[in-house]
Amino acid sequence: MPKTVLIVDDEPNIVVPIEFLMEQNGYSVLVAGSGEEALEIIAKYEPDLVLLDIMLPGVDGYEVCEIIRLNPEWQHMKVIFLTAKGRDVDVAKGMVLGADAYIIKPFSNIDILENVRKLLDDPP
Amino acid sequence: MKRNYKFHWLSVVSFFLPLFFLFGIVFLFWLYLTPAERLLLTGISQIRYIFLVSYAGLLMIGLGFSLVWIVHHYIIPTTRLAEEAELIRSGNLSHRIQPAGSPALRKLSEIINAWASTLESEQIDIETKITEARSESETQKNILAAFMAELPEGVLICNLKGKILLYNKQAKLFLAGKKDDDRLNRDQKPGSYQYVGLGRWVNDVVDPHLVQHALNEIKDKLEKKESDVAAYFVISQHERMLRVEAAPILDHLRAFTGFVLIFYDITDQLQKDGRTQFLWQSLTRNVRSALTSIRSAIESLMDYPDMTAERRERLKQLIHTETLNLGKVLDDTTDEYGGFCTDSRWPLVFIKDDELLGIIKKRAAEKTGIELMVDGSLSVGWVRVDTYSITLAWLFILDRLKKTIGRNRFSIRLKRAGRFVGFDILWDGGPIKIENLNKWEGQVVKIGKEGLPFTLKEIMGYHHMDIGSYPGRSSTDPSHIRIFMPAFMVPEPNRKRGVAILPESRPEFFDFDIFHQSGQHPGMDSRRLTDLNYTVFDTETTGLDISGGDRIVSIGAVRIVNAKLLKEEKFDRLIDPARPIPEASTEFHGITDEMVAGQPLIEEALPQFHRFADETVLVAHNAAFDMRLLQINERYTGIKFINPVLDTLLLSAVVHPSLGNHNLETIAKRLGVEVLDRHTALGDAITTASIFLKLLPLLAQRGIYTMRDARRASQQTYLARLKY
Repeated sequence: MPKTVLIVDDEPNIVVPIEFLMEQNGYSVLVAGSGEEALEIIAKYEPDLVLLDIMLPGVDGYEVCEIIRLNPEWQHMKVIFLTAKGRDVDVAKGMVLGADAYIIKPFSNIDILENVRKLLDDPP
Repeated sequence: MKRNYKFHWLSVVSFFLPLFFLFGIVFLFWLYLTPAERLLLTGISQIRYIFLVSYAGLLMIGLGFSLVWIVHHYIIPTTRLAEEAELIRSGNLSHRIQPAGSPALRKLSEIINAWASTLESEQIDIETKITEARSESETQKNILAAFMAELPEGVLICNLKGKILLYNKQAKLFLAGKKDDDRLNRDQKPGSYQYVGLGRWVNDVVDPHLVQHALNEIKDKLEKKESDVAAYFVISQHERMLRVEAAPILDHLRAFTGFVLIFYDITDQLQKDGRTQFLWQSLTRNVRSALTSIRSAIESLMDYPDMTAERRERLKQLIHTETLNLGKVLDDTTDEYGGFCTDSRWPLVFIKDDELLGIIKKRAAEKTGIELMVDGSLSVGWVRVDTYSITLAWLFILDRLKKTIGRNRFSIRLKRAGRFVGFDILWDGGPIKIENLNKWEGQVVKIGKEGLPFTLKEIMGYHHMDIGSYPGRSSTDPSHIRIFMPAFMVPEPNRKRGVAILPESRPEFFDFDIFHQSGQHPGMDSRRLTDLNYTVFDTETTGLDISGGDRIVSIGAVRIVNAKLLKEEKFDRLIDPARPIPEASTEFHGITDEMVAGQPLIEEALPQFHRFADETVLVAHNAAFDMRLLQINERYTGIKFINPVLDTLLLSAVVHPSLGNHNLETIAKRLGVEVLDRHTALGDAITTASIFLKLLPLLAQRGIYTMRDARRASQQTYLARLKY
C-alpha cells in the first residue's frame, strides 16, 4: 500500500509540482490549502508524512505541528517544514516543536524527495 | 494704627485737654478762695451763668473748627503727601502729586513734583545708556533664543531635580496638551492635561522612569569617562513617536548639574521604515513562491520526460503563469518603492518646473552668457531639487552644448513624460551623440571656478533624474536633449523652518536663574514672595450673584516664575456655563452665547486649570470673588483648589492705605501698569500680574517679605472683611 503524503500550502502553484513529484515517486498525495483543512485531513486519513508550509492563513504551520505532536496516536507521523531562506528563527522554532526536517524555498526536487524518502525509510 | 482712629484720638485729645486745663485752673482758683468769696462767686455765677455757658460753648466750637481746619489742611494732606511721595520714590516716577492743603504743603508738593520730573528724565537717560550697553549681549542671547525657538527638534533643559529651566516652542508642541491614554493604566484621569513651562517638572510630560533611567545611564557613563555620555529613549505622545536624546550639563568643575532633553520626531521615518520593510517582505515572499514552483516544475519536466501530455502541459502553463507573476511583482514593487523612496540625503525642496527654469535662465545668462528662450511653456508639475546643485548641473550641460554645437541661444520647452517632467533644450541642427552625453555624465560638474565635487551622473542620481538625446523630426520638433525629472503633482508641504525673528526684548521663556533653587515644597509660608511661583488668574461670569447661580464663562491665567511674568505660559479658555448669558454681562465682557456654544463645560475646564495652577500660589484681583466661584464648582467637578491665595486688591490697600480706590484700573494707573484687554479674563489676569510684580518691592519696603507676612498684612486690611 503506498505511503501517504499531505502537502499543506496556500499557494496552488507550489502544490501542483510537488503533488506531481510525489505521485511520480509512488506516494499517495493529499492536499490542503490551510491549517484547518490540514488538521481535518490529518484526523481523517492519518498521512505518513506532512509537508507543511509555515506561513498559512488562519492556523499556521507551527500550530498544526504542535497539534500533531500533542496527539500520542500520531507520533509516527513525520513533519517537514517548508520555510523561507533568512528566516532562521522559523527553523529553530519548528525544530523545537518537533518537526523532523525543514526545506528552504525555493527548493530542488531532489531536496524534497531525499528528505521524504529518508524519513519514510524508502530506498532512493 | 489706622488713620481714622488717629483722627478720633486727636479730636478727643484736642477737645478735652484745653477743657481739662480750664477746669483745673478754675478748681485751683476755687481752693484759694475764702468761704465768703466762694459764696459771692456762687451768687454771681448763679445770676450770670448764661454768660459762662455761652463762653464755654463758643470756646468749644472754636476749638472744634480749628481742629477740623488743621486736620484738613495739615494732617490729611501730609499723610497723603507722604504716601504719594513714597509711590514716586518706589518706582512710578511718572506719578505726580495733586497739590492740596496749606500753602506750605502745596509748595512742598510742587517741589517734590519738580524733583520727580528731574529724576524721571535722568532715569530715562540712564535707562537708554543701559539699554545701549546691554544691546550687544542681548543680541547674542536673542540669537541663541531665536535659534532654540526655531529648531525643528524640541528642547527641554532641566536641573537635576527635573525642573524645567528652558524650553522651546517645538518641545511645547510635542509634549503639552491632552495626555495620551496611558497604556500602562497608571493612576491617571483620562483626558487630563499636561503643561510645559518654566519651573514645571519634566516628569509631568515625560515618563519619570524613562528620565530616571536616562539619568542613571548618563551618570554611569560620566563615571566611566566615556566619550559619548548621552542616553536615548523613545516616547510616544500625541500619535507622534519621539526619539529622545538626553545629555548632561556639566558645570565648570565637570559636576553634573542638569540635563538637556532633545526630542526628534521620528514618526515619518518609522512609517517609512515600516513601509519599506513591508515592501521587502512581500517582495521576497512573492519572488520565492514563484521561484519555488518554477524550479520544481522545470526539474520535473527534465527528470520525468515520459510524463503524460496533459501533465506536461499543466506544468508548462504553471511556469508561464509564475514568470508573468514575477514580472508583476517587480513592477509593483518598483512603483511602490519609487512612490516614497525618492527621498535622498540630499536636501531637496519642492519647486514648480517653470520657477526652476526662471532661476536657471537668470544664472545661465550671468555665468555662461547663454540665452535661454522659454517658449511660454505652462507648468506641467512640481519637481524636487537642491536648487544649487541642479542649477550648476544645468549650466554644465548648457556649457557643454555650447562648446559642442557652437551656439549660445536655446529654446526651452516643458513636456509631461509619464511620471516625469521633461525639460527640452532645443536647437536647429543635428542631434548630440549619446556617447557625448555619456561622457558628460562622467565629468565633475564645474563651471569656471564654481563647482561641486560630484559628477553629473551623481547629481542626477540624487535627483532621480535622467537625460536623453533626440534627433529633430520636423521644424516644430527640432533636435533636443530632454532632462527628465520626477514630477510631483501635489507637493507635500516641506517641513518648513520658520523664519527666526530676533525679539526686541529678552524672550520670556529664556531664564537661567533658577539653576540653584531650593526645593519646591518645604514650608511655603516662610518662603520669600520673590521666590514663589504664581498663577495669576481672572474669571468672567454670567453675573455677580454667585450664590444665586451665576457661573464662569471664561478663565484666563498667566504664570509668574522667578518674579518674571511669562505671558507665553497662559491659560485661556471659554467655558460653556450651561445657561444663557444675560445681555448686561455680555456687554461687560463681550462673551456671547454663540461664543461659548460647543466650548468645554466647567467639569472639563476646571481640572485643566487645576493642573495649570499646580504647585503655585494663586493671585487674583479681589480674589475672594474668584475663589468663591472655584469653591462653588467643587461640588460639580470634585476639584479642590488648596493653593495659597494672594489678592492684589488687599495688597494694594496694604501698600497704599490712604489712597482709597483700589480697583484694577486705578491701581494700574497709580503703579504705571499698562492695561490690556480690560474685561477679558486673560487681559485682566495679565494686568493683575503686572500689578502684583510692581507691588512686591513696595511690600518689601513695609517689611513684608514672605508669604506669611503678606497673608497677615492682607488679613488686617479692612477690605478683607468684605464677604461674598
